[in-house]
Amino acid sequence: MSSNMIMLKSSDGASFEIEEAAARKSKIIANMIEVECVDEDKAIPLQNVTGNILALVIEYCNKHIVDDDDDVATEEASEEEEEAKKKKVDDWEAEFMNSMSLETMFELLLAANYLNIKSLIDLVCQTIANNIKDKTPEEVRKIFSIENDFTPEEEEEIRKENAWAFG
Amino acid sequence: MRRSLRLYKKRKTDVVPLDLLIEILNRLPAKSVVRFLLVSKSWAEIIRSNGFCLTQPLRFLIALKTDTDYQKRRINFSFFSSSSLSSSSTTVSTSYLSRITIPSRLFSCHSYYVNGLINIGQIICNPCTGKYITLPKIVKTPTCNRPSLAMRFFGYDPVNNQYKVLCMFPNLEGQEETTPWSDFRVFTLGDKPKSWRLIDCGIPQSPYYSNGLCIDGFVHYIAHTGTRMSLMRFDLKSEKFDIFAKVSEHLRALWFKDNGSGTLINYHGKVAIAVQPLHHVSSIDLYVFEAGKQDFKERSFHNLPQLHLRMKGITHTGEIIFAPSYSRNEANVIRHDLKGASFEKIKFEVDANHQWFNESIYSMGYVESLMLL
Repeated sequence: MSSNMIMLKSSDGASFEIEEAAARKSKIIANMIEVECVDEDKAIPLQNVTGNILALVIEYCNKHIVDDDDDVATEEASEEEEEAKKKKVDDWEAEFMNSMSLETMFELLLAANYLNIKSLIDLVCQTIANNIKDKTPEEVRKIFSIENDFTPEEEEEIRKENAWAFG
Repeated sequence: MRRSLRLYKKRKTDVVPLDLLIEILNRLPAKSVVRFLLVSKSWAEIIRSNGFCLTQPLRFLIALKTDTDYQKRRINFSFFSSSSLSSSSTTVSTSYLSRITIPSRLFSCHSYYVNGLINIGQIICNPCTGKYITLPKIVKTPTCNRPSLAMRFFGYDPVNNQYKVLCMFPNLEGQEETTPWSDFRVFTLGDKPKSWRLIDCGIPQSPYYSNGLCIDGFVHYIAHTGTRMSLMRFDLKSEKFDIFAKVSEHLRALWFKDNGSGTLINYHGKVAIAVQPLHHVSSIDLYVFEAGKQDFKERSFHNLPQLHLRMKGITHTGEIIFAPSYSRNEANVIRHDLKGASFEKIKFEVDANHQWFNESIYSMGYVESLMLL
């Protein structure tokens, strides 16, 4: 495996060095590398990602370099080892997501989407879902900056039709 | 950080692109999703749209038939969903979903579970919401003069996101078991007005007593086709029949002897039949079908802990699940661990308000559905 380093530059001008293998978790960056539009001396500008969010993305990528890289390694490992490894990654992900606010999660989600990192999109979506599942519609509106466009009558109708969910 | 936060707050609406919003919403439990119908009109539109579906881990749906009221001729069902099975524990907690009361004339002991909905007798119910619809009435016609003898299967077409019931009636002059049936009908859930559509059968067949099994938009069942028995396949999308595989003479003989208690199951994506070859011996043989071929015996299970168990299917970890064909007062399934070759009873902790229940139905792979809202 090559240990080439590449540079990424955030929208607010911060530069980060990252292993190519880790950066390839992003389909967009992997594509750029494939078509050789990455100049070794120049940083890749990421106009939609701020420095603090890019730092989180890189932390995530570095942690996940190995896991889905080669199937050969997985075949050799015993079932228990596999399970232990998976648990370790799960624990790390829980800790990683636990440390951030909902606002940061949304920014991280947009960045993961822009950089096209499927596993990070899944992780953040699941965490946001867990976070909002017990909230009231009013609280959810606040989180997503949504205006209530129902009339009280329409609202009453939905509540009546779906009484089981509002118990 | 502060700057970007302010930026985020300034963009009032459409903070999260639609595709990501859907990704978040379909990871929520059904109850939350339904509550969030109230968030806004655009959220309600997303949630009610046809393509919206929820993703959830493997669980059981448990339907308990409780306190039948013989005088009023009504039957009650209480629905529970289990937490996902873990390999170590022998008791599993459940959550109460809903309870329905139906007239007993609509009930029959056949039930099918597909993709969040359950069909019991002549109703289709969403156990998550407790709402149900009755199937359209069958009006007697020359080709269908004994509606009570109908065979009925329930299936789900994932391509069009449609639920359909296939119903077949024996021929008027059907003296022999092999006389081809003449009346085939389909009901699509959501059709208005609610009615059966007659369809072309194409292949002369007389369905033989078996359950139907829906896999990936196809309903499978056993039928006589001419002089032999076949595994039939009905494509829910195109509504066409074909002969999927042949039933061997050996299996056919077993099937008759076993009085048709054989059960079709999904065996790693293939159709298989679990048969108890001897009435008084607690063992089960499993025969697997492949397209165009004759069935073959995949394996046998001996020394099962009780007689008359039905094989239900296989968990994602490869364990085989059996359930009693009926059980009272206790909700149990039996797990067979292939490695240790042991059988283990798993008890569902159901809070049925200490009510007596006289029958129970266990379905694997329960997912919450928002149909029939």
